[in-house]
Amino acid sequence: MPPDQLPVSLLESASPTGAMQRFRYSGDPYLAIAIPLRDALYVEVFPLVDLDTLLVRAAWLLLFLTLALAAFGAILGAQIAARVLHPLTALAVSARRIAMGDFGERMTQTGDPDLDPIAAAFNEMVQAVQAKIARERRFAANVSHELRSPVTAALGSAEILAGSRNQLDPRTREVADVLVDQVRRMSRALVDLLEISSTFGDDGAQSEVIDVRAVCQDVLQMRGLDSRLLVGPSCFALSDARRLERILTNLVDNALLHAGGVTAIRLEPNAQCVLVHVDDQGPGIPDEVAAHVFEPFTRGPHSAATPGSGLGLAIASEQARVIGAAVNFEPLPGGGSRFTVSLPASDLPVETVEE
Amino acid sequence: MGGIPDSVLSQSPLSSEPKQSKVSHLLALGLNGGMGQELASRRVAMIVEDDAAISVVLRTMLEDEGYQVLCAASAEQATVALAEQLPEIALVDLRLPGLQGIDLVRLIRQSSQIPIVIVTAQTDSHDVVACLEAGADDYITKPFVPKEVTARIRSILRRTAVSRESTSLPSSSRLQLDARTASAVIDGRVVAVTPIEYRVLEQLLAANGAVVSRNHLLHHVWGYEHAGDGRVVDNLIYRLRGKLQTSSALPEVIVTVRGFGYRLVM
Repeated sequence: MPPDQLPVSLLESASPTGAMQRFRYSGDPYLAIAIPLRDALYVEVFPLVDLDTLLVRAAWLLLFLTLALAAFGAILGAQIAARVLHPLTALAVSARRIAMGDFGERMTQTGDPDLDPIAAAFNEMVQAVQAKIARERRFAANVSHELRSPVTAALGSAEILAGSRNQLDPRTREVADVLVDQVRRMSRALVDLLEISSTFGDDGAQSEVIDVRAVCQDVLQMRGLDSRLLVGPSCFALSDARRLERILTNLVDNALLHAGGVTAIRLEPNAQCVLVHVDDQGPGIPDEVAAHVFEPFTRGPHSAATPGSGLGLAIASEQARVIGAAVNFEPLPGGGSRFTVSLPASDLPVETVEE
Repeated sequence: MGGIPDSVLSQSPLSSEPKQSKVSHLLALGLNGGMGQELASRRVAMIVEDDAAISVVLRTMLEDEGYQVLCAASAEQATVALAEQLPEIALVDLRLPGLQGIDLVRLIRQSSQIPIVIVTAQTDSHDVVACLEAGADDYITKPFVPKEVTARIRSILRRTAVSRESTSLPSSSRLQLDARTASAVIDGRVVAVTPIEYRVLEQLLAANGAVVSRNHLLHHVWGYEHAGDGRVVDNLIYRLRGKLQTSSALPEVIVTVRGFGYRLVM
């Protein structure tokens, strides 16, 4: 290296004790140490490239190790945290399931001294809620049971009285009519309540080939509706005639009570199932009610005064479940609703006695 | 009245409580054992119901139908009344103080084929089936609609099918019906049957071996206007098979066709 490339500051500050400076020459780092002699300056220059490279590498290594360690620490931390939180997540899942109505949930004891008391308390709570619900259900069933005999006697008496109403003077007849109507209504409500309070499924659904058209005709006839409302081909399904009749009757009653009547009962058989549509032209079902329409005692916004028991659709839905059918509804394009029962189709021909 | 047939007394399936054997003794005295149908008083019905209010309702309903009604508030009272007079039909509440409805059904069936309808609460499902197997022909649940009940009773009591004489029925190799005694003859042996059982056999014979659906039977034999409980039919067939089957060596004469109903082997 020619002497004129040495940094000026070095040469200038080369005091009697000496000086050193790091400088760059041709892109490489050097260290120059200058020691003043009697009438000259002794400068020794050391290339720092290797040292520098070493330092840079060391810096990178350190950075990398730090990051790696940090990452590892994060993963480890997350693992530990997850393990600690897992029972709590499980608790949240169980609580959610219970909110949906599944009361069989229980938490298992894990042996962890911090979490086990929580699990135990949780299980206790579920037990208590379950017991309370069972008590209330028994209460409803007991009340219904108690009412059964008096209502039977009242209904029977009312019907007999109704048979003699023409023998009464007009004023008494009017009152008698009110009595008969209300007793009939009470009786229907009680039958619904009894049905929904009892444990379903223990009766065992029948499974036989039934003439769906005939069942629909019966339902229309029972409610005094025009049989021309029934549209569709003759079709057969594998199901329980009595329960299907109950389901359809309830759907028809629902349309009569809340939608001003039934516009049609349509039969739509296909390869797998038979669909029975009960159509109406009513105000439809508002969204906030829609999700709960098959639950007991759900009523529409304007139906507080209507004489239904609030259980018709709930019973229809439950009976459908028992026979392995499904009940759904959808709004109709022109307004109104369509309730659909889907039954498993029977593709076997039915042999019956000729009338 | 002749001596009490030993067969009737020794057949009592009830427990050995003195009260009950006295009761079946009384029954046997009045009924002369064997088939009691020809002894049944026309237009007399019996109600066995402990709830006084329901008893009044049922009695009025039956009286409106032209029946003279015997009312008993317990099975024990009923058996005393039965010893004197056999009604054309009996309505028995399942739940009675003392001897239960099902026991009364069994007792009546020991020596008579009168139609029996049990009155039940909706929750008595298993008991209903047991009663049907023991010999009851139909059931009504509380609360009942009187019109339905009278329609069913009328139907149950119609002795023969609407437009057929038993002579015009197709003949089966093993089974014949005797309209005069309202009984069945299987493999030459006379079997006592209730009016409902008789009419079911009529319908099966009329079908000439084809399948008869449960609903058809409920409609034509029991008088259900709308869909009824198929178990009533199933249990009656079960009882009929018990009566008709002489030995396990011989094949069944009534065949179950799963999902469709029943048919007769002609």
